[in-house]
Amino acid sequence: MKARGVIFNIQRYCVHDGPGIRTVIFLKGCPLRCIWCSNPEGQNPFPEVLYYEDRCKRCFICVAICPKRAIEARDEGLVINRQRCDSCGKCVESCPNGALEMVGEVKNAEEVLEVAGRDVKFYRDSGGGITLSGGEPLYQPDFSMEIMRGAKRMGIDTAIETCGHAPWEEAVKPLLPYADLILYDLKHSDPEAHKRYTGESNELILKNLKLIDAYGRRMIISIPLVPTVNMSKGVIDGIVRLISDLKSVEGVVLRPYHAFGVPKYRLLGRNYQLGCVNPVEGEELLYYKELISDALNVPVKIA
Amino acid sequence: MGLTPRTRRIRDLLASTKPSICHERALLITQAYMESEDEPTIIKRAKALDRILTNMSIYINEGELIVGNQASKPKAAPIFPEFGTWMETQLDSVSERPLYAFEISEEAKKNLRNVFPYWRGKTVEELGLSILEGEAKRVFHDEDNPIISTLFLRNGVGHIVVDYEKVLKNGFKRIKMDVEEKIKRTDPSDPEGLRKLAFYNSASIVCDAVIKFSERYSKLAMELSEMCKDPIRKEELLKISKICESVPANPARTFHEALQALWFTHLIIQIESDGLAISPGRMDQYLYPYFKHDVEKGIVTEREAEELIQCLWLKFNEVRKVNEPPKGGVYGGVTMSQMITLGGINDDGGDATNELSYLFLKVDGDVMMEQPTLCVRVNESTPDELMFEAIKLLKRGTGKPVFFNDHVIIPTLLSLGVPLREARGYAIVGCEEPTTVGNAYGWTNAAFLNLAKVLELTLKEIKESPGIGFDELIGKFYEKLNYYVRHMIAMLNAWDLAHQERAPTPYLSLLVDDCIEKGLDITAGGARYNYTGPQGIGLADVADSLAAIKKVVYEDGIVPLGELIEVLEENFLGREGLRQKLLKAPKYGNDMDEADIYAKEVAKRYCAEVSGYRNPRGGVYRPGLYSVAAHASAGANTKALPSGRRAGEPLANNISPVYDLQGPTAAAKSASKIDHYLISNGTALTITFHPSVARSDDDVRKLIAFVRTFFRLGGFGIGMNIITSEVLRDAQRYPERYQGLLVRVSGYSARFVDLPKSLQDEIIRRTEHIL
Ligand code: SF4
Ligand code: SF4
Repeated sequence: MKARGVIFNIQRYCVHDGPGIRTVIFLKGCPLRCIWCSNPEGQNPFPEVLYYEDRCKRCFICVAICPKRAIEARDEGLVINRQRCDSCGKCVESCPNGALEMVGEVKNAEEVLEVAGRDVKFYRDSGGGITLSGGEPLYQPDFSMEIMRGAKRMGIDTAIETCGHAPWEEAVKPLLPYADLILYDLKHSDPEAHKRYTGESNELILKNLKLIDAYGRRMIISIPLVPTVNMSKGVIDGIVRLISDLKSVEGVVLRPYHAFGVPKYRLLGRNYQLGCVNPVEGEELLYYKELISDALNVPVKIA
Repeated sequence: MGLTPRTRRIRDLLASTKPSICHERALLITQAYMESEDEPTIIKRAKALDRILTNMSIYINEGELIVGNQASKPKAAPIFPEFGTWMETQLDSVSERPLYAFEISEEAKKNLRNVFPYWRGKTVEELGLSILEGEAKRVFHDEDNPIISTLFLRNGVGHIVVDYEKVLKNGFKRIKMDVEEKIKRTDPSDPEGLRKLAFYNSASIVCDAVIKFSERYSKLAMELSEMCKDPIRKEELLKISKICESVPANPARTFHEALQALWFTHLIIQIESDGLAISPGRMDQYLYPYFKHDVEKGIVTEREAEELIQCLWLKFNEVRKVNEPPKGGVYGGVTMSQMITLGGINDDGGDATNELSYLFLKVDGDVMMEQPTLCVRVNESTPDELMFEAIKLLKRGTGKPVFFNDHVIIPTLLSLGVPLREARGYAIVGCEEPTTVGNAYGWTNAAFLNLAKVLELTLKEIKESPGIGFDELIGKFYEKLNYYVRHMIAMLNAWDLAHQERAPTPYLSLLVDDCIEKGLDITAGGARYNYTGPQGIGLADVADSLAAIKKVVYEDGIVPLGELIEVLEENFLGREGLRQKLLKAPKYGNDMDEADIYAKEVAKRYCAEVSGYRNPRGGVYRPGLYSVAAHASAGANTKALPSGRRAGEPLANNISPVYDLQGPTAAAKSASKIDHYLISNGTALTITFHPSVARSDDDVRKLIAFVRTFFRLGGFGIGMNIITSEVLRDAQRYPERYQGLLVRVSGYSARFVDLPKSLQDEIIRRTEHIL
């Protein structure tokens, strides 16, 4: 095993990311920039420094230590020049107050599989396995491939959560033999709107969707429900039309928007662009659930 | 369906009733002792019980269908001066306690003040302390004593599952006939004859006393019925009168009679001595024939049966005992720990689950009070459905039930020499202690040895020779461990002899084989199986500390051992940086061998050492690894530890990790590296779950799978708290709003608002396994 990749978390005992008890491996790096993204630390494909302003005592030890002079001291706290920073981690080690943290680390597939293998007995008894998530696993196709292939060799059930925006021949197709389940994101039906809210059109995504369906891999369609982005009957009907005649789709999961990710933008020194919207709950959520259940004959769940 | 209007009324009244102190028992036992001073102790004890049962106030409350009270009022605690007179110093403060306060009347205070002088020099406590000799005595009085051993010195022992089934099937008349038969056959000229006769005579007195007691209720019910204007209640009272006339003297014929007989049997154990954890055992098994028969024959409807069970459940919440004030306190809350065991396997090894197993879970969820406590025995044949209902109950936040693993516990009992049939029939006593039913006197909650304190004391000694290697350090720790185990055993054996001498329990002996057969009181070794079970606490703290010393001192060389010990004595003052390094060392509970190995080794050492000793009743010592709530008080007396834990903070609960950051599967895997088959007095892993992992039915099925996998990995038992920390913080702030909030503290459920702040904080701090 040679492939190395960047991951930002491995979480055991996950129960909402596919069947059974699962270990979810979060790969860092994503081709999209969804404005509502709740894992912004998963977007860039390299390790990044998180700055916890409230823990910082303004001692500026880190400023002095940074070999790239990437940290600027200001009265109101630090400003990290993300272009200059090369993620060497020296500042994180030097901070006496735990105000700096590195998110993302480089690992090889073997290391990931070692952790994934620890819960094999739990997977067996619960019908679980591992789920590659992110970020976007297909953004690091070789690394993902090696993890999935290794898992299958260990007899572990595999799932992958993907936005679908990846080249078919190089990234998607080679992986399919090793994926037992695909959790496929559909965020918007309209290519223009898709580009507006995620940075990319959905053409490639829809092409891949059809190809995976033709290939015959079990799929669950995951739809984020985001106010002001896709929460209208028109858009949801559009998404339903995209999947209504696919034969490999076994279910739909609705992921109602929440704001838990917002504070992370600050830690990364970025702005949150969606603005202030309310979490999606209750009646509204049920309305969309029923809208979809009525149109499709697969189970629709709320995550 | 929930509670009926009747049981809702009873419940609401009970919930608003404040605990109080009742002086009646203390007065009656004192009179009885005074009148029989020159008689054998066991006769004195029998006559005293007779005096109490014949003269104590009895009541039948509005609407009750199951009757029988422990003291003059619901939630009134009787006093047991024969064990110890510590209550004397509490009379003025007991109502002022910030927690577990008991109301007390001036009259009660006066009466109690009058009786205590009589008991001076006559108590179990005084005799126990005078029997204790030598080094153990010095250790007992040492302020750095890591052994918490006084529960059975100053109180009764309890912690037992008696043979309830025998009473239901035979009744006390028949039991008395057996005793009379023995009297006839015992030859006074035999060397053991007179001692046996004293025992049999006391047993005979007690049988009569029990029958008279139920007859008092029969009479009272009749009187109340005659006065009653409501025709329906009039009928009910008449029925109660008939039932109490018949049971527990005679065999139970109906489900209602069986419940009433069970209650009297149980209640009188609570009155005879003040032991805790009198556990009703496998109620779903021994009550089932009565339930099935009555439902099939149309004698009761299922709804009526359910209401009767609700009435019994409420009764379990009426009995109370007053504890010594917690000096930190072994018991975080006043818990009676009346543990009921559900499910498991039957005599033939098949699944024992029945309708009552489900019905009891349901009733518990409807009654929603602290008692009784519940556990479910799990094995490969246990239906997922039962576990599903059990987890649904756990979601209510009561911490009930706990799951126990037949596939570990049955072999563990077999290894003690128990025959297969009896091992299969085991029940749980108190929190997590497995016992055979109706034939064992297990002394299961005998003491706690603070393993972390033992490490602290080891380090204190090593300070003089800081150059030693890591293996040598561990060797010194084991030496100290053995030293304290030895003295703990001496203490418990002393208390044991004192109970035998001063507080035989002839009533309890009637209900436990082979006391009648042997003609020997249970305190003297009459039971078929005699154990003593002391627990080690702070296992995770020791494992984390050893792993941290290894890493920080011996591998990374960050700090020399001598300096580290000084830093610990100073409670990390000015050395926060070092504390952070210690915290970063490998920790037990994260599925990392670097730390888990020490938990495994220390557990093994502790179990092996304890298992090597015998008690005066002819039985062996059984090691346990659980803490009830002692990890808080023990933590208060433990200085800073190399794990990074600060002085005074609570120790780890049970075998649960302190710094587990990898989620429940990692914690379960770490815990399962410990050899649970060695922990014959019981243990459980306690895991706190955020409710988000138990929301949907699908989530619950995953929790079931999680429990099953832990058990396949060799886990002994598992307790689950499904709760949010927000809720708990809010409950700290507004306790009045959370009166009903129950949490599990290592093996038992307590009202959260009753716990001391330190324990509350600990529950909140515990790593939550949030997704
Ligand atoms: S070293 Fe830490 S505390 Fe000091 S200025 Fe940098 S981030 Fe803030
Ligand atoms: S990670 Fe390295 S380069 Fe980036 S800010 Fe910190 S010290 Fe500078």
